[in-house]
Amino acid sequence: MSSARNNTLGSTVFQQTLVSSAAFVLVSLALLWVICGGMIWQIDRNQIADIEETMTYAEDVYYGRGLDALIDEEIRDDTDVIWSDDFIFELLEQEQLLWTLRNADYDPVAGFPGLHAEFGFSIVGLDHPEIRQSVRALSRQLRGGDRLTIAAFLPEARANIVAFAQWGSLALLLIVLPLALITGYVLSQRVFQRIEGISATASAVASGEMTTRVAQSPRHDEFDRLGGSINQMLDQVEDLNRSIEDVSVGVAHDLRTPLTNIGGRLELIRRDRSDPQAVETHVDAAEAAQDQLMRVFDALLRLGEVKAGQRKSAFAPVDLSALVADLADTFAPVFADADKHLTVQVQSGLQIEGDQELLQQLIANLLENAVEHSRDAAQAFVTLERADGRIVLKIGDDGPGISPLHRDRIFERFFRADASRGTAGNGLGLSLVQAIAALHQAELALAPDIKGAVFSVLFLPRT
Amino acid sequence: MNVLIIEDDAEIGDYLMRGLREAGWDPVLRTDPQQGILDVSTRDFDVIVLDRMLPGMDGVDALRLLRGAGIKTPVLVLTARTSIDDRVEGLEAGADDYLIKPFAMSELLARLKIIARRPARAAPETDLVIGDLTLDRVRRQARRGEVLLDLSPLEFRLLEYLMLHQGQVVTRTILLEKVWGYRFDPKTSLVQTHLSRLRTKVDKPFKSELIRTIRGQGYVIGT
Repeated sequence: MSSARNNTLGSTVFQQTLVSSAAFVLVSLALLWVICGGMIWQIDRNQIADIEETMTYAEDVYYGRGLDALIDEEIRDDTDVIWSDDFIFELLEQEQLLWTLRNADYDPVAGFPGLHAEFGFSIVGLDHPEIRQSVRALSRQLRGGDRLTIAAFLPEARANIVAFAQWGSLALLLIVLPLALITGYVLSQRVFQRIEGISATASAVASGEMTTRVAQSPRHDEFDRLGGSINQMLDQVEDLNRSIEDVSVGVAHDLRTPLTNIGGRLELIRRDRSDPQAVETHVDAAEAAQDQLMRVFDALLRLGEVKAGQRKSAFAPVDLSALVADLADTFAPVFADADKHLTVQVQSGLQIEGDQELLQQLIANLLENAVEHSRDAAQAFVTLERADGRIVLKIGDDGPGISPLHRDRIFERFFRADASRGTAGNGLGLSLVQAIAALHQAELALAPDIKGAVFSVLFLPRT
Repeated sequence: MNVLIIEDDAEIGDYLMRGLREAGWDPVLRTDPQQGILDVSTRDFDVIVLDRMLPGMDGVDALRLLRGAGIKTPVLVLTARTSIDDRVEGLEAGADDYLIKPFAMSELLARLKIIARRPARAAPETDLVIGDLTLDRVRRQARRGEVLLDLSPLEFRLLEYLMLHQGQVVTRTILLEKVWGYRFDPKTSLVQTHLSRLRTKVDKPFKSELIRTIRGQGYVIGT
């Protein structure tokens, strides 16, 4: 389990969550400080403007009407020129400006004596036993050595904003960051568990348990979709595996009979050495068996070639009408010899893009299928016509048809319905037909619910 | 007839040598393509059997070399591959025929006889004659004696091909290829069916049989 935890901490999801959380915290901090800074700047600017305006007015009074006028009109309290300690509370409450006027010896002449500030703007504390609040002060040298200081209490809102920014930053760092850590951990743990299920399935399949599948949750989320497509893939792989097995068994089965035959005949040749007539018979039989072997190999090779799509390069315009008519002509006597009848109905001039040889093979295989697997005295037919923008080739017979049990399997390699085991053939014919149809992007279908076996191939006409 | 075999596989080479000797031919075997090409330029062969897969050289390249040097000796290419592209490539390079391995000796002999250096046909013959059988290639008519034979166009072509190669064994696959233009091997007895129909028209009503079946090999027409 410890390895799982290590994996969690090292997991991409966890790291991504962490990184994005850190980025989120940083951006939040920046935003907080920009907004608070903006607000403070706004407050300070108003206050500075206020103080400067008052100072300019005070200077006007001082230079225009003299020191006394300034003291009398602006600074003086009702009673005192020098303010009492208590008067200061009144000002604080009303958020009014503080004034201090000193002479060249720095002795207070009027106003609040506890306000000391350098020339220019500064923020200073007051020399007062009870008031802790700072003020923003502006000191100017007046003519004759007098020194005027005007100050304003820093507003409470400003302090609040600063405090808010400080506490906010602390909260972001101490609460949001750990929260992100936990979320990331839980999230990656969850993802990890889902992925663990999928990877466990993959290892199980790799170790040979082909039937194992990814468990699906009822949520239908992206993991279920992933699991679903993996399952689909595994189904296909399993199908493929099974068909390879079927093919190997089929090959083995189809090769064994002629090989046994050849072996037996060789033995007989040795035995009958002195009888040329008998040897001749054995050689004929062995040759026939060898011929059968070659056919299986040829069909397999061709099937492999077609399936690999190699023959696409041989595509050219093909007059399908002429091709079908020609093959039907060629096969008609074969049907007749088997006491069957082939009806031909071919619309002329129908062209497709394709491989002539393979198309011949496709048609021939379907015709051979009709000759071999139809009932005695069957009526077989070939039709070629244009319908619904497609060129439709139909080759079929009127019985006995294909058992519903076998309908799905007839295109498989080496599949042969038990009933036809006795006849010649190797079970590759229809799978070759299917492969050739697929190469030509034609749809191959077996007509349903009909007495006989009727195959239809829908070709795309040449454009 | 002189045959040059260019084949690196000892077993197949041996098989070819024996088969051709038994058929009364005069074969020469070369395992090295360079040596083979040298031989062609110094000796006059009637036909060459060329393996497609040779050590150090593609048979098709060897063939191009020969044709490039102006040597017109007929060539049959042996190939293990069945791809149509291979075949087209071989024929384009100047091969007269090709055969896929493994093959029957009778098939090879039949094909070699067809392509082996024929006396340059002056003009295509318009009338083919064997005994009392005559084939008018212009009017597409066949007669035996005075009797006009009722042949389908396909049967006419079949008879025409056999008569063009009279005295030679023609195999089922050669007929499928040359008369029908089919390159697949039908499961059904396609060729046999048509041949037997042809024979019922050409031979059956008459005293002498012209078309004969050579068991396990093919058909031959002749008196």
